[in-house]
Amino acid sequence: MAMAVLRREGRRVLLSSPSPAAAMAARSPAVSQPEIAPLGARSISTQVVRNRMKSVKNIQKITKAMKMVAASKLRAVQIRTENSRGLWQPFTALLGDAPNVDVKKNVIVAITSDKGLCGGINSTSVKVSKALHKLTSGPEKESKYVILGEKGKVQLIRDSKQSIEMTVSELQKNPINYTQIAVLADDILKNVKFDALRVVFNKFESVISFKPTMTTILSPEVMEKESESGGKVGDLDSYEIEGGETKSEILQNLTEFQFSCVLYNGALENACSELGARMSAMDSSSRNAGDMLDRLTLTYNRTRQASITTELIEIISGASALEG
Amino acid sequence: MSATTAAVPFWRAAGMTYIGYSNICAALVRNCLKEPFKSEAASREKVHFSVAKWADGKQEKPMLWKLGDLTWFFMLQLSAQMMNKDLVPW
Repeated sequence: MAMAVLRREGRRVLLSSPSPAAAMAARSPAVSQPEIAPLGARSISTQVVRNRMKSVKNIQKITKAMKMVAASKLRAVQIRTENSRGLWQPFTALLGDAPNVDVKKNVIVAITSDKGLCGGINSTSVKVSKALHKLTSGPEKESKYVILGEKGKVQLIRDSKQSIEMTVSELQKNPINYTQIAVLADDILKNVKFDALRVVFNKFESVISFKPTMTTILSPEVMEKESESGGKVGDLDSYEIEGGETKSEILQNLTEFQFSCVLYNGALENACSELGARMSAMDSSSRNAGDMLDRLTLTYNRTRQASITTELIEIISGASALEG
Repeated sequence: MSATTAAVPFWRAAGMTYIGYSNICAALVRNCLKEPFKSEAASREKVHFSVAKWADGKQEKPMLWKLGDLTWFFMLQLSAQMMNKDLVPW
């Protein structure tokens, strides 16, 4: 604003005094610092506001499209997620869940997404994993991370680099299927040593509600110890076992299969939560863009009208000065 | 049932997990399907992800898993593991 006043002053100086030195002095700020308005324009330029409005409109289009995409993907994934819950429920009924088991080597499997723009689900997952890490690590105890998804990796690299054992990404190139997760679970079982695996993910409740969830999977040895000490796992003895397998063999098979099922369900639940969170995040950002656009339009119109009014006043008063 | 129980010690000794074993079985069953169910089932066994191991806070080179036909992959894996442990029956 000060610049505009200065320039107008400068022009007046230029008109009144033909001295070149004075004109140079007066014009120099306008030359050295390019103004928003082109030289000689009478009012403040609305170009900047117009550009900003255009970009906000484009952003709004993008967020709206992202919301639509997330909504249409969500429907398919939600059905698969709800169906996959039937996979782990029998295991919990049979073996129970032992979240408070105290073992030496804990491995936290944190499930996050590869892509961002989906609200706080990744940071929730990471926060829960970090709390769990603190809880399970101690003297003579070890706690490691296996991270699924790019976003969780980025967040955990910052302060827990040393505890990362393995990272997995690009899991969602194709729609998640059991075979894929089974190959991954196989890989984790073969390469990571553990007494207890703790799978952390966001359980999908509804489009706006996701519950951070942890499922514990014990290694066969720990499981056997637990079953001897009784509790839920001890109920396994009441089942009749076909074939000549021993209990430890059965437990090993069961825990391995349980892990792949839990991981499958966890990956699906998290994918579903991601889409739901993205939907609501994109919805609110489209709304924000709309509000911003309204405000900008108001400012733009007000400035435009003000400059027109000024021009009219100038013309009319000029004309009346001539008449009078 | 008896066939599977009899097989357990062998794949276990070959260093396979239950998941790997059941995956081979599943892939074989899928292969027995007729068209159009076969290609439909094939879309459910696409595997794509990349795994990177970490040591001392540093990421090692990531390995990309990209599989279409699973049966052959697992067969190969199994035979390689068996050969390593001198378990080849032939």
